[in-house]
Amino acid sequence: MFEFKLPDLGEGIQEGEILKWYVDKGGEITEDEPLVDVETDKAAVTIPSPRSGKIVDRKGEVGDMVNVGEVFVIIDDGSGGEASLPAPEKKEEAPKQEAAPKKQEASVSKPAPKPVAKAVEHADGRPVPAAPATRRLAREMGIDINQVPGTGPGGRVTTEDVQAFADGGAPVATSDTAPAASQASKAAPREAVEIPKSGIPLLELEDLPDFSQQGPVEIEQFRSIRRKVAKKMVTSMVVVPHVAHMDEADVTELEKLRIAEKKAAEQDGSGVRLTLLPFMMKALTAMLRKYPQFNASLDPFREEIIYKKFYNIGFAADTPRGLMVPVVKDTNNKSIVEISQEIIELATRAREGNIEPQDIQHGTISITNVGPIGGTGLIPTINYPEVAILGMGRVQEKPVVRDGEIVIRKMLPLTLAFDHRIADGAQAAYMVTELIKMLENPTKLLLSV
Amino acid sequence: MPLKTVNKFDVKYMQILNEKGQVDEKLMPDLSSTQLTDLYKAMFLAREADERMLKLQRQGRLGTLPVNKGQEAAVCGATMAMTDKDWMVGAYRELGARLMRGSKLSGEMLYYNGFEEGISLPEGSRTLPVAIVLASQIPHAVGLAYASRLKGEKDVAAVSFFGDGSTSEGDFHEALNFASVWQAPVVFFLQNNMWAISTPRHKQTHAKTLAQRAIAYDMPGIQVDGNDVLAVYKAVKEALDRAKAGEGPTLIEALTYRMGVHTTADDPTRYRKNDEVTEWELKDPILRYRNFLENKKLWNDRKQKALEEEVKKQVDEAVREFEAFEDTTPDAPFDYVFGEPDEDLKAQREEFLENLKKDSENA
Amino acid sequence: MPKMTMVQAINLALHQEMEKDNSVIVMGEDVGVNGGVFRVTDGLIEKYGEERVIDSPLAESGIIGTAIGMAIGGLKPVIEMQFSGFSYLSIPQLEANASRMRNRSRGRFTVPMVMRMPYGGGVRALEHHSESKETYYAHTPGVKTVIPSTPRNARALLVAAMRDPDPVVFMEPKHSYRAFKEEVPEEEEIMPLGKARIVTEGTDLTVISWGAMFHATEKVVEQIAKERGVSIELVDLLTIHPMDRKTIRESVTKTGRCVIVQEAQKTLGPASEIIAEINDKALMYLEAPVKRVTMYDMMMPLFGREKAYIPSAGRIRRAIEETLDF
Repeated sequence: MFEFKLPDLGEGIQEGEILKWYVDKGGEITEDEPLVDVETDKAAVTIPSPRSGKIVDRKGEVGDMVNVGEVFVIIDDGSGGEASLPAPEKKEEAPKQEAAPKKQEASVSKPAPKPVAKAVEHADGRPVPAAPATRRLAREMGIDINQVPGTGPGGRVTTEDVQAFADGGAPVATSDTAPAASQASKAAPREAVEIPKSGIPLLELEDLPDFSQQGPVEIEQFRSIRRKVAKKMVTSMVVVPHVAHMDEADVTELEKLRIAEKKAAEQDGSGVRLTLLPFMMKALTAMLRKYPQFNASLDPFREEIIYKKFYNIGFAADTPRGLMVPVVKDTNNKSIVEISQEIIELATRAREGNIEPQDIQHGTISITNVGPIGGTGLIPTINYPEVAILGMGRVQEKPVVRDGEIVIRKMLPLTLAFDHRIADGAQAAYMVTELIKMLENPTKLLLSV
Repeated sequence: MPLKTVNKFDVKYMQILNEKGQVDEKLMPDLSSTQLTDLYKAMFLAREADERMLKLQRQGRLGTLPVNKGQEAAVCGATMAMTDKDWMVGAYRELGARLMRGSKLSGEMLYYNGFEEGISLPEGSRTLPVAIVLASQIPHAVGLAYASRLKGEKDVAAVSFFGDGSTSEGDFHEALNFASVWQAPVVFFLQNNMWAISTPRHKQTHAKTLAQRAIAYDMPGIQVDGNDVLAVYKAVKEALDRAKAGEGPTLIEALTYRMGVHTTADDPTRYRKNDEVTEWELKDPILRYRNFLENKKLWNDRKQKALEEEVKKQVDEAVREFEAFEDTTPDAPFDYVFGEPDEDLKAQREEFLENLKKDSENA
Repeated sequence: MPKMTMVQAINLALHQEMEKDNSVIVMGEDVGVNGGVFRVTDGLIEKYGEERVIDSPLAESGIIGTAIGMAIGGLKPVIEMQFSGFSYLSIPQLEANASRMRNRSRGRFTVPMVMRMPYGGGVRALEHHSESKETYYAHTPGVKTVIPSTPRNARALLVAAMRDPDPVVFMEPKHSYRAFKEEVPEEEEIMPLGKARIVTEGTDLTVISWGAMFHATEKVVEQIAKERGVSIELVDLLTIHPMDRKTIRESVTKTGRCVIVQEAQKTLGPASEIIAEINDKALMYLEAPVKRVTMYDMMMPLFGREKAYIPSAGRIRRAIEETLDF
């Protein structure tokens, strides 16, 4: 049996009116002979029969409307099977209803749909305002962001708020009427907790044991420079989030130049002992002009970053009395030879205990060079309130790959430790990379600074 | 000072074979007996295929399609004058021409059943696909002609097919002007079938002929009886010869008639009188040409019967072939946006296939 | 490397490609003897003759229409629309044919064609000479839309466009035609289409721009980075469509903040699509709403007021600061 559905005779036609039947029910028809005339919104057309055979049934008398896609003629074309026109009214629905149970069966095996995460109802009926990244953070930390008091503009929950909330312990008990974020900031005070005297959570200092009970000891008073250094270091480590960026510079060329200069100086008796340090100071000065965030200080109380337009580089000196950091002032206005002479002078005075207070003040950044003693690398501590310190390790001959070949080069390990509050890793990487480039082209270094 | 005539024009009309099948032997083009009967076969196939496709559409087996009836002489005659090296730049009412140039009938049917895969021209074919936006294809022919000439190709020209409605479009004028300036090897073949859907020829222009539009571009313009396949052939052949000899473009207005609907979505009884159609039926291009062939003893009832059987078989086969098409690559359109799809398009293709899968699972 | 203006750099690309590939032809209004109204095609007709460097009749649709035929016929037409404001007459052909021929013919016929056009404001021109309507072109599938920003990338991208198998709309920021010079290598250089350029890497904020606005944006970004010690990632989009979504995605998921600067008007400009992409793929990384600085939704005023309507350094700065401080 062939079921003939009324085709779309125009473009987007929905129905057609029967104008004339050419063959009655029970009559025979040949393929492509006229079957019926139908008029649509667009045109009146003759529909030729799509099959040869007997008209088993047909629907609609002249003047009746037939829907596009509706079976309206059944032709016995010898293909077998059975077919009948759908009963009036609920035509078309029949096959769909058959399919329906299958769909339901299939859906049983599927997991029930997850309910949409519903924001807690707030007084104004909206979820708390927060940036998507903050929401993500809260979700990852398992925190209901709607419970977090927002301190940002307009009561916005900030990343810091989420962090603080997480650090502050369990969330406030969920209630059906949790306050809106904007209200939360003004909400009733939480229960007081005991803050450790250090002011730092989890940091509880206890009295040290008597080590003399554990074995023989010698006791020295903790005073003077040693104590000053210690105070500075503790402050620096507690207050400044340190990041260390490490790299190596190929100083083969620079060393050649330095040693040649040194020999020349010795021969003409000028007495300048050129070390790597003055070169480094000069190159670093150039970098600081380009990356001012490393020649700065952060005033956390006034919430200001102070960019310093002067360049005073301290260098760590090992003295009989301990670590001292003499400062070479205005390195931007001095030549490498001048810097070199000043370093020698300051170092000597430091060692001999003749240093003046102004010689160790007003540094804007420091360099610590443990190279002459040894060390493949180091993580220096920032000389607070400076924000960066450059550590130099020992220059060593190392096999390195150049143009696909292994060659022996003099390599200098470098570490830039910096204050992550005002600078980021990318800038440090850029700066150190550029610094290395300068060191690797000493001629350019001499010319450019 | 007296006025002077600086230029004078006239427009010629050519007819070789009249409605009664009589021939002007003086104008008779040089065509062999085989070529003459081949032309008839091409026109007959075009007519039969067209009528069958209309029926298929009425049965819901094809989508909307343009109907060609009555214009077989125009398109087949023009195509007969062309070689495979010539470019055919058509619109959409040239079924006979496309079949002559190697398009598969099953492909034409598949195309009008909604699949671009139906564009089934043989490799290396110089036949552009149908152009639906009127007149937009005409400048392409000019560019193709220019390219062929610049590349030093010998004996190549481009033929652009379009209708009377298209002559009102800017692209028609721009194309003729460019071709004229460049003296490009192009033939502008205008099928004036008197109607642009419901708009009659006299509402397109007040000009007496459309051929005279050539005059403004200083190129030959000629009007021919578009239902006279011999006149069409001769006019196009001469224009092509001139073009290939470096003598520039030509505009040919073939007077013909759209005997059927514009497309299957159209009902011409709303805007034109049946008398007009009846009148043109007497000028039917196929009937008069068959008379001519029979008079020349090149055709008879026996040959006719054999041709009818052969064509029916051919058309039946094409229907079977296109209806056997199964869409195994629903994502094929993604292959033809760019030569090399960008990353996002690749991602969209994955998304499309995923959605298709999910939709079929949920169906 | 010689220093060149964008005009010279594009001219170099045309010269070298015409020299290298006989099928490349240049066509447009006044591109031959006059060398183009901006002199971009200077010297071509003397070298390659009027068969390959065509002073066309004054008809934009005719230019692109015949170019489509030439491209199908095996040539590589590089056509010039004298000003983008006149190019709209070519859109019917671009939309109906250039973009669709590959699909319509199932890959049998393609349209490797470049449509060059100066666009954008800032040159004190007449009406229709100052618009930035890249969206018209970017909204057409099958067409690539490219906007260079400097002499060097203009040259390298144009070479890529001329070798692309598909139609490319190449919009040249005429404000930058002669505004500055850049070193451009004599030897061939090519940049892939569909790829954005990360001009400076950064971690705190992503700033995206293209065309003439790129320079105004770059200046502001440099100043703010220096003043505040922030790390801003500056992206030069270069190709509007197909858009380099990966670069946008990766940058914004890294920085969490984004500002887009476009000369085009606001509604449905490329910035809208960039924001949609961020919404799709980077939303959960956002620390702040994405801001866009655009021309207003109106026709570009004549040049008496033009400056106030094109995104200014101040507007760009405020958008960046607000986003950083959010």
